[in-house]
Amino acid sequence: MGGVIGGFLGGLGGTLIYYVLLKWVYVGKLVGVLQATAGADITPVAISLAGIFAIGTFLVNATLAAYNITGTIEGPHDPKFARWPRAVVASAVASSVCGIVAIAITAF
Amino acid sequence: MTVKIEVIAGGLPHDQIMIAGLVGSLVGIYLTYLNVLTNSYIFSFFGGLGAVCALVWGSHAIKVLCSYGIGTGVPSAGYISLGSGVLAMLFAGRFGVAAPIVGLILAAIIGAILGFLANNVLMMKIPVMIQSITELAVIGALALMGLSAMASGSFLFAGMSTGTSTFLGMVTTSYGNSFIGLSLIAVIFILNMIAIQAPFNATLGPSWQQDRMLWMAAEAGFLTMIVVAVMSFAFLSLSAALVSLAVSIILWAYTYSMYITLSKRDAAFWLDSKPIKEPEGH
Repeated sequence: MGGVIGGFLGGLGGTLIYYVLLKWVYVGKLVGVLQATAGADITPVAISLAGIFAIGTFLVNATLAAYNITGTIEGPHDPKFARWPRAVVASAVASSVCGIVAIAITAF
Repeated sequence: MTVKIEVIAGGLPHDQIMIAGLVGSLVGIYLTYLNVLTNSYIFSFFGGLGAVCALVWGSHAIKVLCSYGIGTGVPSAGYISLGSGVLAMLFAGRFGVAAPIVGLILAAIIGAILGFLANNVLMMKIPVMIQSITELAVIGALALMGLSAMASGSFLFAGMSTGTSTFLGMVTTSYGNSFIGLSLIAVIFILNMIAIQAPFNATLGPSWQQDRMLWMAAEAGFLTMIVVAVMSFAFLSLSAALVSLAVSIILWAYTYSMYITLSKRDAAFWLDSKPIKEPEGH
């Protein structure tokens, strides 16, 4: 059950990164970045960029979370589960750094 | 607190490999800029050579990190390397000819932050953690930038996301037919991930030899280059893509034969087994 919940939360987080980057950032801003003419279809680039940034951010978070429990955990009853607050702090900082870079690519 | 469980004895020191890999990959990536200066695509394969330099350095950086028991296996180091590298590499593509340098610096900053988080927030307390994650992020960014330049002919964001399509003889700009638009960057991402962690994962153990691992890293890099050269047929001129393919295959064959030679040297016994012939007709 722990694995199912973890997989659900991980997938939810990755989807959030992808959705927000695609809908709120790239679809609107990439036309200016690429200096595309009006009417040009930049959707493939936006989808691909949002996807690869979501994968990058997801893998960074996944690895840091795995480092926190040094590899494996048996479930919520495992003593290593008590370390979860550290993972929240580390993942929040790491995601912020990745997110700033992902948004800043459209900034200028 | 973790304990160092393996020691590197003999062979090249890590600093030399790091400097050689860094200089080699930067020179290789910058040589692809000759494409712009000469208005051709023929120099694209230098990007792949630069990426191989970064991957060889990367396999040894993973060896240094994983000689401490980090508990998560070798591939996790490859994931964090490419995951942070791809952010820096795409962002740096906006900076024109300074892109490789900007990518290097930004990847180093992201890597240092991640290493600090792992060591001081997650309490890994591994002495080489911050340096290794910083190196790995830089390696990820440079390897991706090199192979992307090899496939698309440019390490710039605009060059990677703008392609052409031909309709009734008219050549028009198409964003869907570009390197990023076709999501080929995701394929290169995964290929790099395999190439960076496979060498140490495959050669680790009591009989680990540095030269065998480094030759295998070069072999994995050139094998990746072959696939990227096939991709580049879609974006580059035919002659440039053929040059890339020929260079990749020749260098791969050479490094593969070197790796097999070294494997035979380190093996306890070598049996050239033949397939078992089973009688048919029963």
